Amino acid sequence: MAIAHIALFVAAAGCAAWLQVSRLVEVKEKKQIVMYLLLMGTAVVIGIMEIAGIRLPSPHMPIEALLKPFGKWIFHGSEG
Amino acid sequence: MGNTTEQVSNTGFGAMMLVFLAGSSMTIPLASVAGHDAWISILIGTVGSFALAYVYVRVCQLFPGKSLLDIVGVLFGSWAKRVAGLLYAWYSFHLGILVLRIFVDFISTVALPKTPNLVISIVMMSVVLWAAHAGIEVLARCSLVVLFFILAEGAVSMILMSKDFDFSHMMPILDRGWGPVMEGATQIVSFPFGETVLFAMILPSIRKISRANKLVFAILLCGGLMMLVVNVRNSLVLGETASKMIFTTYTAYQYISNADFLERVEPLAIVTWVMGGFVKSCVCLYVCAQALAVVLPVKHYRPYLLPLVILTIEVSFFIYKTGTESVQFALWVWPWYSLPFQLLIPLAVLLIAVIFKKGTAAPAAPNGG
Repeated sequence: MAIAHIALFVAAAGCAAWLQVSRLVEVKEKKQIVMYLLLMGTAVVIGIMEIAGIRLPSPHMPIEALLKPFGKWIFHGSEG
Repeated sequence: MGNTTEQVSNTGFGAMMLVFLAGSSMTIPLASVAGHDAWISILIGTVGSFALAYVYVRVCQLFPGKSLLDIVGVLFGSWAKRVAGLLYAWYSFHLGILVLRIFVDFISTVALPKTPNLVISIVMMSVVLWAAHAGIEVLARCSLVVLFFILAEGAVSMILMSKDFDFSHMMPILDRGWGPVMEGATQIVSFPFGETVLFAMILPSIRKISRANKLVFAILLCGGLMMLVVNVRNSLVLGETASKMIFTTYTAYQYISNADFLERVEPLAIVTWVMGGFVKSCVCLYVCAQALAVVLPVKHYRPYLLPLVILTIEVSFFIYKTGTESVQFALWVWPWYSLPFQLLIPLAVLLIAVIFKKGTAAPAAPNGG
């Protein structure tokens, strides 16, 4: 079932990307094609991983590791 | 971003900013750490937000027609502009994810418990994608309509809830001292007031930039008053528990019962939340795409919207696991994490511009504004 979902998702994203990239190729926007493919590629990879059930780490993890002790130290009242 | 031809009226810009402020802050409790003294935190936070806003508005006025990122480019060079573009793209993307996640949590908890979260996210973000694609002018006009609903909802709810007001809930004042109140004020400055720094990317699009200062301060004041009224209303109805709930306004609405006839009006709170969340998500998406268009300089931001929407939906599912995680992040991390974006970068830009006397003052408004 997951494979069918992945195939459907990749096909949909692929079609959208094909339409957009072909339009950008016409107007020769090379930089935009690069950025667009980078974004869409990331979206597809994360989407596939999520559909496949792979647990992805939260982007909050490094931010929390860096700032949470400081925030807790400053905001004593929040702990109560 | 500076060469954009899109222009918004000052009224539309003001409405958009006000709805952005009200978007999520009127539904969830603000300065919950201060308990029933949260209203004092809101007052202090509103005053504190003027300082933040002054920095980015002044910067935009020194360089009329240029966004914050364009100004970074003028002062520090193209590479600094790209780095700043990447930073602000991340910040607005992150904010957009959090807004969507809170929205989905709210809808799935109170309105559509059996509907998969993915469906709620896709429906919401499809409309957001459409609006962001239509441009900032359309979004400003949408905001005017949304603002009318929010104000009407606020006024109606005050009247309907007034019979349940218990003023003893607000007493005693400052029983836990100034500590929690100041903590609450700090949190309010970073959320939601500090988030208005995203409008530094939209400010160049307004027709009368010379009036931006007064406009932004007026909006912050109105936003602060709206939050104050909502917070006091919720506290008067719910008491101390108002600061311990996640969806306070929704719970307060459940108390409305007039003449055994006018009951179950909670959908009003849902409508307000959906509309506010929509505008806030649109602004985040628009600014993120605009900032990415600066990283690799291109003319149009629109091609980036679809992949950004897909990414926002995907990341919103694993940004945090539980509500406790999100509360801890909001309390202890968000104020410090957002400090560089909301204050340090705009302040550095302003200082450099003033010290080296760069930029040109905004031209006087035609009607002496």
